[in-house]
Amino acid sequence: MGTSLLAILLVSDSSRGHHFVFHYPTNPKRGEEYQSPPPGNEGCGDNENIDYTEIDIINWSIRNGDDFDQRSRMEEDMVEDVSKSNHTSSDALDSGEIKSNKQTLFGFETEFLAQILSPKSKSLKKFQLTIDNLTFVGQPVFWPRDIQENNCDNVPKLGDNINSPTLNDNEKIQRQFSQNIDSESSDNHGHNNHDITSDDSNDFFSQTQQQHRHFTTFHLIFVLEPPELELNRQVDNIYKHVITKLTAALRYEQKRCDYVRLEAEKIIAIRDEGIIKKMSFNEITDSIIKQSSLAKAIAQVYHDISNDSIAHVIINDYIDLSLQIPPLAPSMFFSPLDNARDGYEYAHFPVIAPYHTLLLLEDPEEILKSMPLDSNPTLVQLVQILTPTQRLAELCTVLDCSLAQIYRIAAHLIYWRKAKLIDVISVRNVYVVSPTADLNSLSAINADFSHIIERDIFGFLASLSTPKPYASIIPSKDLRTMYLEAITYLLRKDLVIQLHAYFLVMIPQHIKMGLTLEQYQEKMRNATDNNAIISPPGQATEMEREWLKKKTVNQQKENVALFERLIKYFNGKYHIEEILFRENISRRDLKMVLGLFDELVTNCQKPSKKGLVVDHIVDHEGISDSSGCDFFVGVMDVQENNGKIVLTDHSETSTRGNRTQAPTTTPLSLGECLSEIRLRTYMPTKEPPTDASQNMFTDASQNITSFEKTIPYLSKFKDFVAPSVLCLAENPQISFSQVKNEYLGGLYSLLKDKAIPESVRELSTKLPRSSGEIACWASARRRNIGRSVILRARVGQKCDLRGTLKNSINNFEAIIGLRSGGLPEANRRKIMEDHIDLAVTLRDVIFQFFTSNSGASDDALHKTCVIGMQSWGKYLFVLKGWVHEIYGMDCKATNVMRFGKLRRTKLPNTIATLSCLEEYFINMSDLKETLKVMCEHTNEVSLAHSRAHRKRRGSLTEDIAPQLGGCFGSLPQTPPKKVHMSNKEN
Amino acid sequence: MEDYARKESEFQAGIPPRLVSIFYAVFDVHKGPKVIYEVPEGSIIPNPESTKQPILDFSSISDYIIPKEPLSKHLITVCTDSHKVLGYPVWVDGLKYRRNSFCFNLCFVFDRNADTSSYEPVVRKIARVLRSLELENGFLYEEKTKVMMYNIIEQLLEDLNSYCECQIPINSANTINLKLFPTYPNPPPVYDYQVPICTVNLKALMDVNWDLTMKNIATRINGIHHVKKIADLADVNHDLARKCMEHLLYYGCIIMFSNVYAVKPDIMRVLEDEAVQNECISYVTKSVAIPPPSFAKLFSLYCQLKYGVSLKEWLEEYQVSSLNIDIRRFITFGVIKRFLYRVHKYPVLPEVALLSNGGGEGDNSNSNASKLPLKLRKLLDGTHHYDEICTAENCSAKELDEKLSVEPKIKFIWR
Repeated sequence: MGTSLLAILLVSDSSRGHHFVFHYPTNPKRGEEYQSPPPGNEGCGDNENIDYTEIDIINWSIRNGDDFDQRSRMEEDMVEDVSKSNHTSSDALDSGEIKSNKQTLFGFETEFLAQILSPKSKSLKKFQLTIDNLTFVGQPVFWPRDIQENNCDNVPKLGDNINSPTLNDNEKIQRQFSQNIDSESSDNHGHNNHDITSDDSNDFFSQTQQQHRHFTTFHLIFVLEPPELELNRQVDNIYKHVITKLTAALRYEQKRCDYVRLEAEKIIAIRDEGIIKKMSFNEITDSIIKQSSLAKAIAQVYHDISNDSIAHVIINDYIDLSLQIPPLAPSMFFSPLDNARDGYEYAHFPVIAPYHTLLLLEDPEEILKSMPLDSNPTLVQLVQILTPTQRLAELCTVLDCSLAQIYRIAAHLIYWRKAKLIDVISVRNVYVVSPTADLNSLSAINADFSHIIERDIFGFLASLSTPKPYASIIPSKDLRTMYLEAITYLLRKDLVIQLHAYFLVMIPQHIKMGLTLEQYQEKMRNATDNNAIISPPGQATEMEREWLKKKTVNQQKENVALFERLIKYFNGKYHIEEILFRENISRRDLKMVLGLFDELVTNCQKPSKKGLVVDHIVDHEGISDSSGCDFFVGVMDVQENNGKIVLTDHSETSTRGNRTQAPTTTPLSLGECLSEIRLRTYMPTKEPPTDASQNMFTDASQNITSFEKTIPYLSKFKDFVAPSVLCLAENPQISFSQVKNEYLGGLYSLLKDKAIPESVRELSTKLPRSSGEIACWASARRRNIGRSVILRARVGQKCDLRGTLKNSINNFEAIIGLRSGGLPEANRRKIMEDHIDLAVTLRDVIFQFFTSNSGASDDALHKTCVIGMQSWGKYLFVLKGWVHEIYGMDCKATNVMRFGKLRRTKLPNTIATLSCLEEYFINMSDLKETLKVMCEHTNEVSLAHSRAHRKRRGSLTEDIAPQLGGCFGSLPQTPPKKVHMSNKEN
Repeated sequence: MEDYARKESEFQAGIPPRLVSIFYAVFDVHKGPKVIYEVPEGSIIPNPESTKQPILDFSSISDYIIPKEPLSKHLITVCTDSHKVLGYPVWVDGLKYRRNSFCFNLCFVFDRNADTSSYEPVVRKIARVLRSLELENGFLYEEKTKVMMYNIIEQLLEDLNSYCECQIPINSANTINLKLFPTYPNPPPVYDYQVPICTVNLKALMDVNWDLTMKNIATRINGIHHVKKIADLADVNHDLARKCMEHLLYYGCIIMFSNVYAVKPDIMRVLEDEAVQNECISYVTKSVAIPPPSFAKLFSLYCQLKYGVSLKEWLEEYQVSSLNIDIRRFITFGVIKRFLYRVHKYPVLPEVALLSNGGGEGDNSNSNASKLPLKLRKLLDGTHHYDEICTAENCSAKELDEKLSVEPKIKFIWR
């Protein structure tokens, strides 16, 4: 996956012309078969009447990449070359050769290259030019000339250098000549002729005249020679990952202290001096690299990028840059299964799971040394304690940070090639020699290997040639650690890979086809065997389920329960480690279940082990399934607790800050980190990924391709499902039964008549509904408190739905709704972020309520809660349904809030499964009831507060206050001035 | 043993990109670089009457369309922010021209991300044809014939976009013949020990115009013989035979197949695709008379292929021969569908391996060397597998086993 980087050039441009500043390496190596032919100067033409029509038919190449067409062109050039060889003999064949003080590169004079590589258009962002098979890519940087002049009056001008007596006349003429042509060739520059051809005496004049029109540029160009078909990919890679970053750094330095211009002048001066001293170009380049930091950086970048490694450069001792073309995951050979399924940009990146671990590719000390001083302490700690026998999930307890943070660090380490993702190393695992192992390197690493273990590497690999648990090749228990170290070493060198076992349930063919055994035998008289692979759980027929159930009839209850829990993993997509982790069971239990199953199947099926296919399939990074995975971004410390999420947070920095803080201290920003490595996590879920309701969804969605087609009222239907929360929130007057009758009755009749009855339609249109973005009243109270006045002006949370209790005394915002995305389905990140926003909003609401009712008793206040509601659409190929989640938040003690999911419903997109709408409406009615209770409660609280307040006023003493309220700190007190004044009145 | 990703890129590479526009530019003595003709109209030359903007700003790239002499007769691709322009500027010298030279360039415009590799030969060729036309009778310079250019580029755009080829008669002597060929990635190197399998019916493709060697070789591809044997049978030089194989590989007519088998995770794909399953059943069935085995059976058989289990052991253990399955086809199917891959057996003699790395061949004083012929011994450095050695030694794997059994120190690495 390397690049075909040939060279890096630096070209600068001032009003006086183009300068070819520097290139590295001095003699770029072209592809073997392509000896750069001399530029195709106009030949006599007679020689090239070769029959092209014949040659052009075959336009592909064998191995070397030289196509016939190109060959013919080379021939043509050769012929011309020979015919002219008398006077131009070996001209320009050797790039870098001094020939009348002109240096050539790729068969072009450097002056000429400088000219064509300085783009005219100032708006051009990405420069890309291909000449034959050489591609020049860069990002030109322009800045207005006058700014530069003002800033840097004291620095020597480029012009001084050019006109200095050290420059020979030849070159000066050449430069002027090129400018001449330049101005001619582009008609819009035609009128500038006089100032370019002018000599030194009126130069100053012309310069001042040009000041506002001319830009000064520099342009760092990467020269590539990619093979056919790879051009676009290579250019994009190098542009995105190297050129833009390096150019941005240079641009910044140029702006800050005129770095690039000064360095360019320095380089040109050294070169000119070298030419006068008749040094060879190699020597000149060497001395340039020694003296110029820019040239040194360019050379370093060239070496590292062309070797496909990471380049660390410090531009001008100021900007720390790490550049690389990120490696593609090793799954080019073993493509993970699911990439076709989700067709997702990062599908070929490994999926990080809690049961994985990291294997450092270098010594921990080395890695620590290469990190910047201000790197994330967690990262440092992780690198120090990392062992490949510990799961990532275990690491978070050791490091005391969230799993998501560990993921981010892991992704960071993988991205920068410091670590690779593996399954936990254990003697139970099965390792074999990797099909991609580089056997040529074996003898080279043998010495290294023998330091770890007293065996030669060949024998060791030979013993790993058949798949068996690693433990079986360890002769005695004492040697275990040594053998583990050995396998770690081999894994690091990519010599071995781990095999995983997957399970697949086989069932009799007749069951799958929905026939009885007799019917089946009738139909297929001569069938040799009667096995079939079980359908995916979502599509399993009743008979298949029945059959599975029967298998477990005579077993112990616990075993049956375990079996039912595990059966969903036996579809060939989960390997042992994943199953063990997801279900949190021991290996023994799994074995027990497998044994059980085996027996069951064999009893009724065949004497051999056919019922259950247990296999080893080579797999690199684990195969996982997106359905049923919960995604937690580690914004808060999340603990699962009886289905409720408890989070402890609430100072401003930890909610908002955590999201951005942690990664910025690491050298890579969060955005980059997230975008480069696909982060996908899952927690062991209580709900199986394919539970009954999901089956319902899949079944139904297969029957009906699109809801819209079946019922023309989809939009209306959607409309009234979504705002129904709002309806309920704002109209506590409507009784539940009324709603139930009207809504459900309406829906059912909608089912029957495929029409929405008048009453329902009325209901959904009459109800008040705000549109557009609504800001909460309680917005950002908590955040702004104690801040400076300026900060207080910050705009607070926006929400999509705000339910204010109508009968509430102080307009309590009892329910806040957020909608994450309509079409297309929102990203999980977006959903999570909305989730956080919701939490913050709810906190603000509670806070406002608490502060405005600080007089009420603590107990009463703590019983107050607010409700949050989040919904989003689920899509697969068509609309799959809607998810509604209801959250609650209350305050348990000062600054300790409890936030948890109360209910969750999924609405299907088809009317065939309306029964789950019932669940939704029950939830909604519960919610409505709750709101009623809340309304009463808050009113009581408010009353209590005002009573307390009045009491205080009446007695005119402040000493009651400390006994009351104060969950968010002390009560607001009457300002001393006012106290004083009221005292006076009395 | 390419993966699906590569297959996809091959597929995309097969389709030539859409041609957005063609324009013809010359160096005008008075105005500098100038676009003379363009299709479709208004794509390059701004039209003051229409509100439509030209797709690219010609003045910003004119330096590359009509460049200075050194770039003459080079294929130049220049990119603007949204488009890619492919051109082949040509300077023609001659006293009849105003400045003793004349420059023209016929440019092809594509979307920026288009993969233009299949157009490169076409652009080169048409430029050369125009150049010779100009040299012969001043086709481009003369007012009379110049106007034909518009018709030519109009037809070029239409034909290349819709038919991928075009034929334009210019005059009695000259015709422009162009055809787009898809560009595929170069085939991997072919080795003597590999076995080619046809993926298409080569005999049906073959016609009298085929190369004799190729014909000779193609008829002998039967999915059993390895390349060296085919070459011997056809009495063809081994190098030529390999070249032929590479040609066939390039056009996807054959795949190279060699002899083992472990399952890749890709096999799970097959599970989800019933069409492939049915294909599999009909492909591997030996005789039509007996009902075919179920796919589940085949699947479990596939899964039992693993490291260290040779085909023979596998056959015996699962009594595959009793089933109605053609073993060879069974394996080939897995390889063609890319969910099986070959596991090779690499014999290694550690001392040889270490020696070869050290580069010291001179140290042959080793007493054990006598047991094996030197030539064979040299192959045991861990980088040559059984197939390779067998082919080189012209012996069967069994014979090689016997030969190697004299040396107890040999280790076998399966990869």
